[in-house]
Amino acid sequence: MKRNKLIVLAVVIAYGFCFPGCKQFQTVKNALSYKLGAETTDQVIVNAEKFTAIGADTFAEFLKEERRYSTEVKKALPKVHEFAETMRQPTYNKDGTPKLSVKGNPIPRYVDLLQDLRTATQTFKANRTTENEASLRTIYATVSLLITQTKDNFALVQALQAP
Amino acid sequence: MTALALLAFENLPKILEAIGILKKVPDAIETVKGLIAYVKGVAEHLKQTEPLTPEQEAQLDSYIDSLADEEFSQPEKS
Repeated sequence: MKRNKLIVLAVVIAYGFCFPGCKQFQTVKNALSYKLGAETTDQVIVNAEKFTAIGADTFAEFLKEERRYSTEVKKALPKVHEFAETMRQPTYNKDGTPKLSVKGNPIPRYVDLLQDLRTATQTFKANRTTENEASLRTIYATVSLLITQTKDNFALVQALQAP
Repeated sequence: MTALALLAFENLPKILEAIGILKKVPDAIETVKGLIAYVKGVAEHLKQTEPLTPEQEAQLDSYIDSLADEEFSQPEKS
């Protein structure tokens, strides 16, 4: 794990020096602390869509890494493992049947939340009422909070690999 | 031959450690690849200034749906 972290650090540092786009790291940091404010309706939609995509990438990357190093995470960071497992929990329809993907796999909580955000965005896009905007902002706030929590847990997984 | 076998036996812990490291290298490479793709992806999303087109929306929906079928999305088997 220590050597892995060194390799990761070396490549990330090299990446930062070699490409003018190293400001992307700062941009990512700023983006994750962004909150929906008083924007035009188009901006509300753009920001919701941006954060759906960023949320999907962030959740997927965290869960991938947590699973890759699950033995170490479970041993050293049981709370992080618990957090990841909560995100993976299956969701259910109102009649109690499990929500399934097209391929028949259970839909985990984090995917269900992203799908809810997509539905709210599409509803507001089609019908820009105050009520629909309020629903969108509520789900957006939940996703935004989960992104922050995921980012914090991801940092702990990364720190676990540090020398 | 015996000397070589003894030498190998004495250094067995080091050899095993080296093999362990070799096994970890692919994981480390995947981690780095994942991090770079993640940062690039987020930077790309941030460039968005207009609402998504129907085609782009379909792509995003399809990506989100596909996450449910990933192995890392499923709870640990007890």
